[in-house]
Amino acid sequence: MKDFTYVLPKDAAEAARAAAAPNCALKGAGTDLVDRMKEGVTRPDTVVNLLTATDLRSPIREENGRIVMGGAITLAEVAESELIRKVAPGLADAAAEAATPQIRNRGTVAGNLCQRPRCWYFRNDTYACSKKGGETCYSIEGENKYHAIFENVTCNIVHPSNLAPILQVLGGTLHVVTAKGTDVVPSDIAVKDFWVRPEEDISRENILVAGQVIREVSFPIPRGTTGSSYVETREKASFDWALTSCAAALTLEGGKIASASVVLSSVAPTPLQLEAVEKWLVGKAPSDALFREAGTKATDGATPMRDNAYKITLTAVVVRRALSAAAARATGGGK
Amino acid sequence: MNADDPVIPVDPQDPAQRRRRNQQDGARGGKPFKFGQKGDVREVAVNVPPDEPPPWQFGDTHAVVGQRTPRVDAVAKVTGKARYAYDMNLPGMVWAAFVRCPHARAKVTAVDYSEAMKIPGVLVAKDYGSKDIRYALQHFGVVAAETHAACLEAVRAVKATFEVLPHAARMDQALAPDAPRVHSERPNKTGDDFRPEAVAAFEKAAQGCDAVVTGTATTEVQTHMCLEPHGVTARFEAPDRATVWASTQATFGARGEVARVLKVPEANVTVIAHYMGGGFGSKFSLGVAGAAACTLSKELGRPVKLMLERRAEHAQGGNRPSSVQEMSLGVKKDGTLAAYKVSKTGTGGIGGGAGAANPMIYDFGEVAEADFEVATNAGAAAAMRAPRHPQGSFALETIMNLAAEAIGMDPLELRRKNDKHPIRARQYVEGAKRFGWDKRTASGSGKGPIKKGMGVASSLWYALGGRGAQVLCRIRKDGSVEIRNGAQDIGVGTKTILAMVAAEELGIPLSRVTPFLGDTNDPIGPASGGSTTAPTIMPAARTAAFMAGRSLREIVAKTWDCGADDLALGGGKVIHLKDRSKSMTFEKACALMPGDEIAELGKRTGNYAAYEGQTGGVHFAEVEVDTEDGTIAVTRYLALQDAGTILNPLTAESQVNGAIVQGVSYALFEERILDRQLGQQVNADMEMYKIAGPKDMPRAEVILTEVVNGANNVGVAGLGEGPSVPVAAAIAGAVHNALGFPVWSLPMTPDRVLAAIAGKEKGK
Repeated sequence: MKDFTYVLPKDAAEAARAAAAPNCALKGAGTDLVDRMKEGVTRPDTVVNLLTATDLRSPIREENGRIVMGGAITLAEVAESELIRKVAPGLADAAAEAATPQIRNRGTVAGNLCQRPRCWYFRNDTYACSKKGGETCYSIEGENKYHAIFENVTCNIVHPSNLAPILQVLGGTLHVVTAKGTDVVPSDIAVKDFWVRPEEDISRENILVAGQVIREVSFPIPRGTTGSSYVETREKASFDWALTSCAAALTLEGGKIASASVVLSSVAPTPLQLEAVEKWLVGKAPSDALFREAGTKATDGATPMRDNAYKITLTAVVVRRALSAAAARATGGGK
Repeated sequence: MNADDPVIPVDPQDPAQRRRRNQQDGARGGKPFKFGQKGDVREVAVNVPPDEPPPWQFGDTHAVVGQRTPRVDAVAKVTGKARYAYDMNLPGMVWAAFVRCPHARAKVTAVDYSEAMKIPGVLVAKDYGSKDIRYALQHFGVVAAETHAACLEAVRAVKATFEVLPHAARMDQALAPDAPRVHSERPNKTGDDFRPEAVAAFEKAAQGCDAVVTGTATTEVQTHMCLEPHGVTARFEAPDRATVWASTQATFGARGEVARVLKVPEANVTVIAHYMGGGFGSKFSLGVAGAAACTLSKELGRPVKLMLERRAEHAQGGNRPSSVQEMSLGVKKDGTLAAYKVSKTGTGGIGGGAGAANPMIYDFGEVAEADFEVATNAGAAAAMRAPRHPQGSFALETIMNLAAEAIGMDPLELRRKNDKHPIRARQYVEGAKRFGWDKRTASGSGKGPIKKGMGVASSLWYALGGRGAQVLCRIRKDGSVEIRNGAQDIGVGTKTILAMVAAEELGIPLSRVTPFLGDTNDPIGPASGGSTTAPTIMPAARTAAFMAGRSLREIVAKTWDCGADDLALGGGKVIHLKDRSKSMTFEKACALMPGDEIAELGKRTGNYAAYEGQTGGVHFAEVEVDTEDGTIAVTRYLALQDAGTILNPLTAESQVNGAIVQGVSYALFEERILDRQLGQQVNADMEMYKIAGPKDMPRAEVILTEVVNGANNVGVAGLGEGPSVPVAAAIAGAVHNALGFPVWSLPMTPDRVLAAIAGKEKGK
């Protein structure tokens, strides 16, 4: 690990100004960044520790029909928040499913959204993979059991964030501050517009640029007849990355699905909004058979590689389970 | 055998020899002692050597031994006060690290160390080791620097050029028709094919069977994943001495190696391993890291620390070889196993050492066996907790389950019928009752997506220890006691039972005894391998304490004008056996000693004729298989395990629990995944190399079967390996019962489980 300048900003504005420095890395809990620095995959000249910025710690609260929280609110705080559990239990589930108690106690909401992919070729600095500026995606010919089954063209990473699909389902917004010279300008980014596909820019996974910091995250409080859920499959019960994951929100009216939002993750380089499945669901009565069919539809267009075809089965499973859980919450009025 | 041996040693791995010698020993006469287990107590004649106490026998009761006793170093461990080799930071210490090749096969053609040497604090950057690279992450250079950070930066700054050669890192690559040779002098696949006469005998016997079941089991390479990696902190002390803090399972072996590397007398070398962060069989030698650190320390005149980084630990720290086991088993309707054919192929990487303990445990009738090793360009295998056995157990217990189904017999009954070991015979019955085996439903009969199942598998080990330990017992004038041996406690609680044995023999509370292990300045002890540490050291410890206590009794006898044999130690007192009015506290007795201490050296003699040469175990597992997402939850586990005299039930149970944890992990998760391109392990970290965590654990129960084996004066048997043998097999049996068909590949990850389910549905 090489020497770096360590910045301890007092607020988001200061953090954004510091983050404009060349070759700068933003650090939340550091659970991802420090790993990458140890592996030599990321070698920053400046590290900005966001945990000292007090406004990034603004509490989870209700504000003008939205739930708002600071970017450095921890996963444990989200998982345990009674407010979130009441209005969007799917988000609480997603936070609770992540990593370990230790990591959830430190890991932040913004950090979870911005963590780099877990691809074992990307994380090994002796592999000059295309994401790191090399010429090859080693997963194409190599070991790809955990890689993408959708949109796996140039770089076959899967998006690792638990919170990404559920915040997208909930119509979440990222409240960003951007350093422009000495000025700091606020702006909003919809979660669904946050992601960058490898074909657009292989070197990154989201649209944040130097000098930008996620100050807060918010989402509109779902209507009373909406249920939300997050479901994942994985190998281990303790501390494991999802093999497939799905977040869903269903609004029921008169025993029929009035609106649906379904986002898959862990199967493609970015979270995948299943628009065709959503349209197909609207107007139908929820049932196990319906959700089973939806699960199958969700796998349309999958392009598995040598070792990851099993993820197709697991995609259908998470979609069905997420829809069932969302419908049960919508029916129960318990969100 | 030494001429002065008072008893006939038994080779515990050879039951025939054991039986023969049992008879011989009986014929020789000697004092009869009661050994055995409940319902099967045998009188065995033993000539007790003059300096040894009589062996503990069936029915003996103990004051300290057998009590659930927390580790004497528990507080030091959980508060971080315990200092491991990795924790040693000595004044003036230098950090060292290897420079490694990312390719599985290459020639190092040029190396430029100039940029590395420019980094502030870097002292050494140079060639070290072969330039003929045979596996990925093999080292060819070494760097030493004032700080760890500078050291790692220097490693990055080394510019090497390689001539990359075709490799065969994976077994499938090594077996391909046009595969490059891993060792130029021989083909990649070597070994012993079936003997034609054995195959003929198998075929003939198979014809007389009512069913012949077949199957191929595969297991993957498992790495040791020691929490503390391989390495040492070494301090050469000019002109001819050295002290080395090593993460080792063999302090005395390491001492010899240090002496050879540094060309100094063994007597001038001290190896210290007060604490050890996991070895599992991979830390018997000083290793490449240790040798390099010693050499650099001599060269620089400063202490040097070199511990393998995590990726290198996976590549260079050893592993359990893989296996492919093709089996055919012929069984008769009455459960007689009559014909067995097994062909085994596996890879131990660049170093060899593959193989599977298959057949074992059961009587298979006519057996034909073939055994092949495949050389690969991958890190060398090392002994790992019951080498060869978990692989063999998984395969043969799976084919046993299939055979039971073929003849419509309960799988537990089939095992009972074909296993005559007296300890397991009892464990099958007790275990079935305790586990509720009668509630096991027919294979594959569960409704709904989540299916429950139960499985059973058997264990054996050969761990009665032997010669190779001396223990020093000192009684100080103030009544405190030291008990010392130079071997290591690899984390299992050896230090605690050492103190317990001394306290028991001297009749004093445990708190009065201070145990010392892990320093080669103390008397010789064994390497911790083959589950022999406790059964090798503890009899010598008891003898040492007995001798020291005898010296104390002699001192008191003079005062009371009686014989030492008229006196006994117990309850913190010296007691007169004939005159109960006379007694003296242990402290008062110690105060009578003429000098400052009594010091006695107890020696481990050979084993007596034992009740059983092999230890036994039977394990039961219950699982829930989610047939939709392919996950397996091990819901309950019961291990019945014999370890002879149980000195400390708490740490003994902990040993078995550890085997269950590691076995669950082996069954469900652990797999070294090698990239077919560069040949590196892609999951060489603690994140993608998956190890079972707390939520993956079953509700586990351990029942320690009480067996007084009589192999020596204590009768403890090793427990490191036996319980590791059957865990994956028992879980696989439960999965088979749940699904109605076996999953033939370990680890049973969701992709493999779903493939097995899909394969079965296709076959319908």
